[in-house]
Amino acid sequence: MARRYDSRTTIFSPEGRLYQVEYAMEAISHAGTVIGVLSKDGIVLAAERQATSNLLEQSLDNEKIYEMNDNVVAGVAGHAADANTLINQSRAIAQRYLLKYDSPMPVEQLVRRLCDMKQGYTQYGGLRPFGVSFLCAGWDSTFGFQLYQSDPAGNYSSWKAACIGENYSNAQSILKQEYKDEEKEEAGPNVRTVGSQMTMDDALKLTCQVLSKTIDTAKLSSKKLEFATITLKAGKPFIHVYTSTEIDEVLKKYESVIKPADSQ
Amino acid sequence: MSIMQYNGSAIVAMAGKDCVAIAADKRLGQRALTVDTDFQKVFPITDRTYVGLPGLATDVKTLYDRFRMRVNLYKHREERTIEPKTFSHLVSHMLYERRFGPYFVEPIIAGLDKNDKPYICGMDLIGCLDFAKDFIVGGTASDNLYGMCESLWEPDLGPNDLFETISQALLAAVDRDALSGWGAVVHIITPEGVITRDIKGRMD
Amino acid sequence: MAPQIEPSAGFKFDNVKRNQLLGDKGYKLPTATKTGTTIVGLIYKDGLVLGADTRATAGPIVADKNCEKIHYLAPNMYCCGAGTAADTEFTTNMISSQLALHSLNTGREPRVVAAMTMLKQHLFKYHGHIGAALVLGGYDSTGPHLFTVYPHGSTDKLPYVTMGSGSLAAMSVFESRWQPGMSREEAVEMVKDAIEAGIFNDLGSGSNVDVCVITKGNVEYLRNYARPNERVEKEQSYRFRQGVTEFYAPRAARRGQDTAEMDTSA
Repeated sequence: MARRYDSRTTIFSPEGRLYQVEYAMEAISHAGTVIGVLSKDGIVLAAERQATSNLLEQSLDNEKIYEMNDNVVAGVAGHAADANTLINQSRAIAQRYLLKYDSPMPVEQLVRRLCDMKQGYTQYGGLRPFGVSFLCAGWDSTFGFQLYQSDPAGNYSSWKAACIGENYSNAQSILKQEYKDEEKEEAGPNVRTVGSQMTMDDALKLTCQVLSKTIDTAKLSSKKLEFATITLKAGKPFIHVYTSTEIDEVLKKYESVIKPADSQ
Repeated sequence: MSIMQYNGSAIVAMAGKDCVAIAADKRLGQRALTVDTDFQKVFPITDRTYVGLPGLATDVKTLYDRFRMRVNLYKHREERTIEPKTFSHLVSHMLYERRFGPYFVEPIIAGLDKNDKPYICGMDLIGCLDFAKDFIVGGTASDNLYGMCESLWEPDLGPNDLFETISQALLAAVDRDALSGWGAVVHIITPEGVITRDIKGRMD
Repeated sequence: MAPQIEPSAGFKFDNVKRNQLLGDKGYKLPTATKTGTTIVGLIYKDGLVLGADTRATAGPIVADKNCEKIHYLAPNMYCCGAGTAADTEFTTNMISSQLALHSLNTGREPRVVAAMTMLKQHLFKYHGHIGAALVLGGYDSTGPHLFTVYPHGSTDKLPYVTMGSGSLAAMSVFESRWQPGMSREEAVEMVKDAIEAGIFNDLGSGSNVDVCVITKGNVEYLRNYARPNERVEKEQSYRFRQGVTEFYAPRAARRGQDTAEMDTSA
């Protein structure tokens, strides 16, 4: 009798589940895919646009990838309107942190604050949860490059490669197979103990590969995609959101790994 | 003593041909005592817009932090950098909000807009904008700077000439003001970039 | 539950206590820019003419030699401002914004009495602490109207008015020459003379004359209509030889300057 326990977020079901949260996650699994891959020199984020039309003014239409901060860029899967509010709030949170501490907000802290907000909507107020998952890619001076995934429940976790949205389990398994990783212990406090062996080039290649296998259009093109990378430039984080020309160049560069179009 | 004279400052901005310059002294004082000879009073807002903040030093720092926050939010939300004219209206609003408990700063803004056209403006402590075409002055040495700029400024100075003019105007003005001086910093903003120089002046 | 992102509207009184403390310690509060000013308005046969000088002062110093004192309120309404410059600027901006909304709500051209009422109610609310003295003029569906609005919120409706520190000088011109039903040329000339009387005789007014002619369905904003105080051309250039100013070798980057992005720590 799930019906009785799913209309409010503020109650558990007898099985100990929060149905509204699960329904929110279900909504996201129908949204456009977002993939993130961590490398030692940076992070790649790629997203599939769901709405494509010749009438869409593509250069002005940013629906999946947003800059939160000068050191964090996020990919969004789920309800676009919900995402907009959360992004707006995160931007303000990051700036208030900068105002208070005169120091850029560490990535995990930003993700945590965002998740605390999302969690609030699952526990009190009687409001529905946000139907959005994020992949936040960022850099700070303490932990270097980090990739976080957060869901409507308010959970977050750090990943070397992750995927949200449609076909995410498919993508996740490919990433698991192909991701080159070696544990590398480094001594000392505040030092990342896991090093990635991937270079940015590898990461881009892997991203293209996974994209081609999970997006169900005949051919990958810049009209269907949004792309962003975060790297270091002169010691400071540099976020690059790709234009459609640049996306085409990337796709061309790695066309060897891109699944050829199905013959009609 | 007026509260604007507690810390001492001298800031001037000038418009030239396809360039602007903004210069400031480097003294931080507490009444007669000099506490710092390298105090920053001119801050970059974007790489083509700078703001100079003469007045009470604590408000200088607070206001710069607040400007940075608002400009960053603007940049992330609008996905473009703020124009100098828009920024000066933002500053004017932030100051007028505190009409009955103002910040003791009289900001000076200098920059190039997206068409590389020079833009300078100044305002009083409650945000009354003054859009001059030639120069804007502020700080304890402002009276001296008015005199120097009226005499030395001429229209359409190139970046090198503008540098000389603004530097000499500032140096002469601060030499006649006990509360400002101890070195000076000049920024010349051109479409190709910003040239920043610390100029040599009297250290008394 | 959602945290507030946008700052709330209206005045903030955070710093009042601190500023009071500083004042008690003996530090004088700095003066805001005032517009010493001569502003005038008069009604003539086809409408009305507003005039203003262009000097803004900060104490005894001229802060702006060519400021704009005739503010836009609505397509058919303009307002000259004297007193504290920031107050006149922001008050007229705000009422202009409210008038635009009002006009959209009613579907009609705004009336001058509407602007006058909004202004006086705003100023009275702050009991004179907002130092805006205004000459409001416009041509609406009921004809041309000219009002004065004082900082405490009182208003007068008159066929010819002057305000500001140069008001007496300007009024002397009006009192001796104004008649009902003048032509446009006479009206504009009279306004120019009145402002010039203020410019030359009042220390708080100076520089140029701005004129605004408002008639039925048309406004002519004549910025710098007269410039009786043009500076003579400088006889000599004071340009310095390039290289005269000595400067130090480049130093470590300053706060905010080491990258193009602003969002970094000191």
